[in-house]
Amino acid sequence: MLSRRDFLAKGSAFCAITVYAPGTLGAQSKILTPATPFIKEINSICEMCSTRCPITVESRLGKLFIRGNLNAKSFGGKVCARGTSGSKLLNDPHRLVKPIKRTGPRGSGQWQEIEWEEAYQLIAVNLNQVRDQYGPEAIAVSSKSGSLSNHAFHFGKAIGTPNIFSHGSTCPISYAVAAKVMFGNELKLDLENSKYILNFGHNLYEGVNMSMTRGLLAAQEKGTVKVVVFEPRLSVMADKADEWHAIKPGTDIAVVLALSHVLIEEQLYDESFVQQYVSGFEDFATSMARYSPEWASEVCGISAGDIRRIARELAAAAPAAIADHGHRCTFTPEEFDLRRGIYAINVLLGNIERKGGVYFAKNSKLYNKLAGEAVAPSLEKIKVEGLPTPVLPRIDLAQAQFKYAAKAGGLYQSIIPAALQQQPYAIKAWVMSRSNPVQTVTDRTQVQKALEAMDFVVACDVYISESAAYADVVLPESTYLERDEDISDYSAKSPAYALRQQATDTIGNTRPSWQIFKEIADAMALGQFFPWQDIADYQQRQVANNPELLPQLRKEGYLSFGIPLLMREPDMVAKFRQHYPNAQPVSERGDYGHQLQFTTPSGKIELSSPSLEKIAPGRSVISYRPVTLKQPGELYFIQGKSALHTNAATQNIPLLYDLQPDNPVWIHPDTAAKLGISDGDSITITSQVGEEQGTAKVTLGIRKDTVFAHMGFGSKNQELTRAFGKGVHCGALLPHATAAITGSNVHTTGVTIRRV
Amino acid sequence: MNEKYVLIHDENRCIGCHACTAACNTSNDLADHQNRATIDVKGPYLIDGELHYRYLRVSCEQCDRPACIKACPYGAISQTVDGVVSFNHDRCKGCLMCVAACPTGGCFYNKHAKSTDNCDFCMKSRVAEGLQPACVTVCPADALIFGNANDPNSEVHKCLSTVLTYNRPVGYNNKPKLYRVASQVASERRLV
Repeated sequence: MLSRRDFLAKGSAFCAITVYAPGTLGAQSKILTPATPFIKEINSICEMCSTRCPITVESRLGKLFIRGNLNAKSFGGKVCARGTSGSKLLNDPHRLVKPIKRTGPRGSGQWQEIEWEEAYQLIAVNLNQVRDQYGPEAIAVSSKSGSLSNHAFHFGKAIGTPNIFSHGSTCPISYAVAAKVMFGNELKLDLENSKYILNFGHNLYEGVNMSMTRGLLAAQEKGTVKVVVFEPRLSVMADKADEWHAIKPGTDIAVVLALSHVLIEEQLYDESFVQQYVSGFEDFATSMARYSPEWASEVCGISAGDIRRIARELAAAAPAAIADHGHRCTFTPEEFDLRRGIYAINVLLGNIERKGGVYFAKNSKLYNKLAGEAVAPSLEKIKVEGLPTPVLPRIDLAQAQFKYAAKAGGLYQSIIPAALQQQPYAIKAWVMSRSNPVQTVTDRTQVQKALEAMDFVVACDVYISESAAYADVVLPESTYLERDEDISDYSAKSPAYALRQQATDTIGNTRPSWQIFKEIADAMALGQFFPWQDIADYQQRQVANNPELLPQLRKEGYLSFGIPLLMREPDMVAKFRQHYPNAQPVSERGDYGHQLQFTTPSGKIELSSPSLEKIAPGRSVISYRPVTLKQPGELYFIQGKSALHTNAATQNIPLLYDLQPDNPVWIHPDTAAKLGISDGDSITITSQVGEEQGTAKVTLGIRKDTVFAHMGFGSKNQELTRAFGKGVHCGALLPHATAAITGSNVHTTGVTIRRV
Repeated sequence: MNEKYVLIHDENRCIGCHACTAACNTSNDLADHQNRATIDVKGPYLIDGELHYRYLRVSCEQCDRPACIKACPYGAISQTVDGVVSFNHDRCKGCLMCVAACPTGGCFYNKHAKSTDNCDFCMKSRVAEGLQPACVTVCPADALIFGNANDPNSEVHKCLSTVLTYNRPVGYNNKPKLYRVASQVASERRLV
């Protein structure tokens, strides 16, 4: 028996989790025999959210259990609730498993099952008709980005339409565009080694992004990091942080700029880094001089003293200090300068390519160049000759300021004015794959009208989603557990690849999207643009120069190559050079700082961007512009993620639905008392564009002037039998607004609330 | 010496994400709305001027002297030599005496098995295969540790010997094998 310990340890011990090889644990349990002795394991990639963790699918007599793939060290062999519920999606009797066509008006829910060939013919005839009558640009193609979108986007190119969209503008596009303008490339965070982390509502403990979440957990476990969260709501992230500031929605930028102000004013920034790598610092510094902590305090309500203190603490921890650029960037019309401002703090801290700072993914090309040898295999880009050149520019390029956004997935919401007002020209057909704009694009009424105005709509999905409900033909896609897909690049501090592969037999008559779009192209006589025979052939083409990579990936699911490298970290560079005798020589500082290249016009980090001035006058320098997100007397309405659902895709999945069937609206007790609302009351929420019924969750974990709901609920279409009418439909309450430059949809508005 | 299997839930690490709940459900073939184990996230509570949630694992406490065994008229509940309590679904008649007797609501009527059921640390399934229990396997926060406390080299032994843990009270002279590392800010033991 264990006796009580007579010494006390403070808090948690760090118990490294041991992974037992099968057979070592419970081997002596003489009386127990496994219920099912046979396990087959297949390594693949999850698709329950966009993180796409490497997974291992255990199969016992056809029964699946999903866990993380232990080969992917930074993911720890773990999965979240959504990831481990993949089998529930697979076996959901409500899933669509046969192609269907509409027989009543759009959205009426009247369908007829058809065969694939008939579906393809129907699609080919209608898309050809639109193309012949209005031109190929009248067909919009959209897909949630990721490996599954490659084939849908390629289909768009084969038609000859420029109007190809990812879901980006309803979620992460702003940080991508801001990074493109400033660095030329996207940044990753080395959370695990950081000593100080600033977080602006990036809820990593509920919107679980496994490797980042685990990095942050590891840093907090070591007890050597201070985490400061600015978020209007007490998320789990805010709960676990060292400091939580319930900032006024949409005013994060004031804190961000004031932090830069203090870093420059008190000369706490890394001057040598700025000299070597940065262009436009003077203009930036001049602009920041206007944004004192006292000014910021007026805007956002955080005390000037706190802002100064945080700036000094950040500088003291530099370079192992991070300002996290976030994920869902839909807070404000000024997303562009908010995200640029966050990046600017990192630049001032000189944390680029340092431990505990930020870094660029080391793909095989860069890594092999630095190593002086072929450490990691490279994937071939599959080139297709003779693709038609679009005649007209994209619909989102009507305004030059969206030049960068158009390359980063485009303004998804620009389909709506194109459909309803023919602005800048008409979109008449819409092909969507695994995308749910009726939930995620603002102003649901308009999105629905746009769908109704189309000549033809095709949706390809695993459910009849709220958007697919307005389609003419819905094609049942195989779930991620039933399909093979392209090899994906998972490079981080060193090159890595992962592969999705079929883990179980296909249920019903579904097909993977690579096959669907190839076969639609065949039906439209565009087959020559899909020269691969099938996905196996496609994968072979990807590994043309390293054929041994594919069988290895099939076995391991995830492969990383080489050792971790951060280019400005002398210890890591020294280790790298010991490892690779032919590696590039170091700079006089003993690192690869001189090899660091930025694909911006100046070749440097552009704290101010002169080239931006040409397409958006007055936008080159980061500055504050006041925004109005609500009217006086209204409450701010914000949304966010739960750990149980992925924005607009998982609400109908058994188990996940049971664990979180709806999204009660968070409201502060004082605000609730004023409105005569108690916990659990039915309420009506009204905005300038919509009205929704919901329930109140009275909680201290929200500002008094703000209400919050999880995104993706309140489906208005009966096809999602479980999720139908459950909770508040956020998109129906959000008026249509687009952020400058980044083209992001804005997901903050004003609402009034009353008890029913 | 016999094994003594224990499970430790660290409330400081737990992020209340319900990966354990979902893994438990899929691994044990339960009805969609049922679970042997779940996380109860409550709050926020105002403690020393700060708001914090409480993360409490709710599952069978795996008592040393289980009230459920005493209550069962059919001998459907058994305890192995290593102390793990588990339910024999074939013998259960669904009288729910065990459910009434359990002080913590640890057992429940399993609709698929048509029998009462509990968290038996996946002893009959994954652990018998030499694997970790389903919840421990997936936990993103490494908040769950499982193993043999009588093995001095096991993680649970190390944890129990170095960290102050607590058990939920389950009645006189009775000790659960579900241990908890109390949250430093808001545990069940320190509510306002």
